[in-house]
Amino acid sequence: MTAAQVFFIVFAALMLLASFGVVVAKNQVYAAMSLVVSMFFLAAIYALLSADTLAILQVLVYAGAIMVLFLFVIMLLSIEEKPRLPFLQSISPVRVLSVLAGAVLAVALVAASLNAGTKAVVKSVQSQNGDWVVTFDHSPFRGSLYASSPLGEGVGAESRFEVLSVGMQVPPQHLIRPLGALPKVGEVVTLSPGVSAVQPRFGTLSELGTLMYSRYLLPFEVTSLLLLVAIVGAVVVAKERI
Amino acid sequence: MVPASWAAAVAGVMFAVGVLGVLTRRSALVVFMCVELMLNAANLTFLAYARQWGNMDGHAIAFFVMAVAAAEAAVGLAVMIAVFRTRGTLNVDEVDIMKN
Repeated sequence: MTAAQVFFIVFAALMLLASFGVVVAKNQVYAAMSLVVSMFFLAAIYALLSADTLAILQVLVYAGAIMVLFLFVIMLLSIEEKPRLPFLQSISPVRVLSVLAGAVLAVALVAASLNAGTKAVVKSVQSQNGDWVVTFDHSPFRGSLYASSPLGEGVGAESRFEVLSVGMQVPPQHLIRPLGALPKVGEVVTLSPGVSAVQPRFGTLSELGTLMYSRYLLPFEVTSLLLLVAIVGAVVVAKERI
Repeated sequence: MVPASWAAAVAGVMFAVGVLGVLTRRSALVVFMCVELMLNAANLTFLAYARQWGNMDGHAIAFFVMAVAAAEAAVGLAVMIAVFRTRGTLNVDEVDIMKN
């Protein structure tokens, strides 16, 4: 386990603890402070995922802007909270169902995330100039923009191999390096993408800025309009008389 | 390196915590905070898979989600101020005029 993975586990545990704190907090201000802590640890996780710019934006936007707004509203409204019922009396069928629904959703999402590999059937295996070229009935590597190799790996009943590159043909041909037995035609293998080293510029402000002002120019401008409408709308709705 | 599936699993739990909060809490403000949690869980998934595929598009989407969340927070809190002014409560069980 690498240092990044250890940090990820620590940050994720603290982040989930703080998120849970939002749900169980007695007081709204405590809930808001829990949310701030949760957002900070989430920013740390973003940084671990090489998303430097978004980690900083997360702190600025959530801890800086949205949380101040929340605290401002909580204190402005000075809502007196009803004393809570004792725990046993607060249990109602709706609450039990809600907790059950949350638990089922969590289990389902975690199970789905951890089984992320794709099952594929081997269609052909050929030797080509000393390399092995394999086609599958479908592939997670199709159209892959990977710059590095290996792209990932495949594990079958007996076979085990690394996927080095994928061609642009239809169906795409995968150049593989066997790590164990060669895959056989008709064998079902589990293909899972590897986590590659990314380019040094990945996730930097200049890279995100280039993307924003080229491919995402129209959504970017529409977002600025949305924010303007939100500002004006918030004032119109919240103000007593204009 | 952190596998994307780990981050996706964490995001799944975070989303479920958000759903739990929306279903169980009665204060509209806390319900709103839990919606923010769910939005952030979605963002985490985008960033994890952007990292896995070495593709910046996920970052762009996460950026837009943040902008929309900010706009939503501003308008939503303004609506809450308006509701509190007319009805004197933010308890979602008591603000039920459309039920009848």
